[in-house]
Amino acid sequence: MERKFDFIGKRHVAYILSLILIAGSWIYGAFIKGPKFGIDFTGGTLVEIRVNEEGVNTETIRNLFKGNIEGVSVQNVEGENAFMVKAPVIGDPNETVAEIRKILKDRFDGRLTILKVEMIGPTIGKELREKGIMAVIYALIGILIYVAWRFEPIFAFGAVLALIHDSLATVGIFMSVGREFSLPVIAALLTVIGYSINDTIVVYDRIRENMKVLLRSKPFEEIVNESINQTLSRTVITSLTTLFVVLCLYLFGGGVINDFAFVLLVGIVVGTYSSIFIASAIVVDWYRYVKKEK
Amino acid sequence: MKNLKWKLIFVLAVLIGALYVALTKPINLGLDLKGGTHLVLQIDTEKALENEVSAAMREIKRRLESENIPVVSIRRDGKRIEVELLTADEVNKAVKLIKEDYERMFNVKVGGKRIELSLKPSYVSKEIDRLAEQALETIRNRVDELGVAEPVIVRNGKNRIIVELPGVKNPERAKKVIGKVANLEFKEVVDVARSPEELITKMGGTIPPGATITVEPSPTGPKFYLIKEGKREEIKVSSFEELVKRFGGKVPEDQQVLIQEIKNKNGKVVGYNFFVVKREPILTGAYLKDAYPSRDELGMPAVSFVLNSEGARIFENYTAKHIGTRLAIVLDNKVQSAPVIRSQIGARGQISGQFSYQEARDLSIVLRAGALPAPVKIVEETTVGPSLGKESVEKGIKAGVAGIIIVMLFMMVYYKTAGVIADLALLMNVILLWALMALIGATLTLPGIAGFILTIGMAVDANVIIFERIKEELRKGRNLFPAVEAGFSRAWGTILDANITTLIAAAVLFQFGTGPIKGFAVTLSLGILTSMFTAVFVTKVLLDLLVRYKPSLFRI
Repeated sequence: MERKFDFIGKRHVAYILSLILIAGSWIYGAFIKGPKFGIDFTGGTLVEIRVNEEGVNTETIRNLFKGNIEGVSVQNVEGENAFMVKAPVIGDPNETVAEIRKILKDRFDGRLTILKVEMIGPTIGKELREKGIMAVIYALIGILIYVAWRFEPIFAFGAVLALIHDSLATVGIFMSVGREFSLPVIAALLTVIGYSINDTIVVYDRIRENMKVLLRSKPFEEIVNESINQTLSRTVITSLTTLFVVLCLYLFGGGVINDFAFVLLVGIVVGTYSSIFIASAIVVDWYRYVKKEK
Repeated sequence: MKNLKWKLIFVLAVLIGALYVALTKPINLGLDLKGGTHLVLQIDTEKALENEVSAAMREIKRRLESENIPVVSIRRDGKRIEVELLTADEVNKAVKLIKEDYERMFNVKVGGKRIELSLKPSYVSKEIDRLAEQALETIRNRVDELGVAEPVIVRNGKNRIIVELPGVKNPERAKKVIGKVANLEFKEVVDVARSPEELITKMGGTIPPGATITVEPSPTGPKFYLIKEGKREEIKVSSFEELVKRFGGKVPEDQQVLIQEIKNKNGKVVGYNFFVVKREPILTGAYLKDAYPSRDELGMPAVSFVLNSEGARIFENYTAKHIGTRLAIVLDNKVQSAPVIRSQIGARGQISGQFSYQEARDLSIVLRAGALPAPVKIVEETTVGPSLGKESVEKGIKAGVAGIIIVMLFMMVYYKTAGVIADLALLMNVILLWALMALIGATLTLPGIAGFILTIGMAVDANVIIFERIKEELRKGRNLFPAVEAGFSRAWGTILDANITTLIAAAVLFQFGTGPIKGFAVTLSLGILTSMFTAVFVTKVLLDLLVRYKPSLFRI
């Protein structure tokens, strides 16, 4: 099978494509649409209920809280008789929760099932926000150190740049579709960081192997391009098997798992793309730059 | 080859062992799957420390005055005390006295005629530790009284406590019982006022002519307003003593002002009485032996208590000498009731004060379990109903089964017999991971289920890397046996690198995450470890068997 594609030659197209993707999704998601943060990060109250009564809609429930609790929003959950009641932090959130519970119980009595209650105080929200960002940074640093130790520093540089690319693109797309950041989303993002580098490592391993044999006879770019082509099928198939299960999670997991799976879905696709088009290309450019300096 | 036989036996032994564990040992489910309430409490250690400093300040002043050292001024600023004396000579004497009593607690700094005391960091950290441990113990007692099965109560960081209550029916009640400070004190009543104006005048202050002061209830306590010439302005004060002082009155040092809430029929606060009481309590809740709900002479719910022998002795002595005076029963700095002492009282007494029966019952629980050493705030609550937990498990199983079927079919179609071998290894991985989690007592959470399913997709990655390599070697014209060998040996390093990076991310996640997320990190990490065993070692053994005994069946 000698199908060869000139990935390295087309790398500038890939760079531009990536830039457009990242800049576009961030401009749209972060600045035009604005990122959404769940109560994990803002603090607040979320009560998820199921009501066993005909004709109840979000308006009915919203009216219950009018004049009692400020800033309550009510959402219907995917076609069921289930609703999510959310309230921001005003005063003591414990009292808000107690009040919401009481109002709902008084109104619906036996026809109410409280599925879930979450209350996050403002200090915790702030803490989790900071810890979430730090976790992503620590994961990147940890992987940078490992890859730098196992490969040459230029590879580590390429790998982490590719990871930053993957994180930025995933977060950008996540914001653009209007989903809400929560702890599971951060968990998924970290998983993407840990996983999407796998494909990159496969390619780098091959580059290193080929360099030992071929460096004298072929230019570096060609070795890299050949390595990408040689490992292409495994790069695609490994991602594919993981995508299968992530897709199942996305379709059947429901609720929290849905957001989680969405991040993985996007992250793995973007990660596979960057392993093929970006990660090695950066190494090539870096290699050229260093050579010119000398 | 003998070696291969032993390897096969090893694999089978592991499989049988794992099956045994998986079938006999149940896996721990997280609260998000089995239903229950998860609370994070934060202990207000700052407040407790400030109170200690306040008490030390009063004690120091008394000590200095009893040693004939006149104190020009003494004041507290957060956790610091500033003392001003008349002469440098007295400063030296005072420092010696203070060091005698408070060496362990304060750093002493002298500047001219001033002494500055600040809490020692070593004292603060020890004290925070002590407070947290004591709070933990008290909360454990209270949860026991609530009758929750298998609760988890652990410290989290310096000043937080995590409480997990599986299957709790009424989380609001549990929160009230757990979060109440329940500091019970009996104090001598000096005076009573029905309004802030009465309080101020009784304490020697004056209300400006033409002005009135009103008080309004709010969730954070009473709010005072000055009404003058039709204008209404809030009087912002941090204590009732400060309110008195603002209008020229003074509450004596050894006394304090406490409020009593007046409630309507629905339990809503509609007004306040103001009690001037002696600061030093006659007795505290520490002297209680028992408390139980009862009814007072009017038939209203009340809490009866029994003092221990030392408490009873103190109480007897006190009440015998103070017949005809009022005694304030104070709970968390609010006067519950203030009965007139009619006769000597021994070990038994009663607290009445507009409770519902449920409140009286819960108050008995917290009094029996003891007071918290400092106020606590519930900063996080997650309650999952039992139905949602069950639904989550069902959805997770559905997603998992669908995922594993698709992956297995794909491997079979794409890699043929080698794929079938990878599938066998994958099934073994699922059993192994499940057994390992049960064995080490790891908790399966909702994100953990997602992690479990994710490892199904990731486990075969190693097989893909190996198989692709074997294909490549075969294409180069190698024979089957060396191709398989090369496939494994060359792919091993890559597989290791790839898995370690994922483990790094999982480790960071474990560090950062709370309960459910930690569950995900643990499941993912264990899954990566088991998959390295099954996808590399087990697959190799099975593939070797095939290549050795039935090479004609080998298709890749």
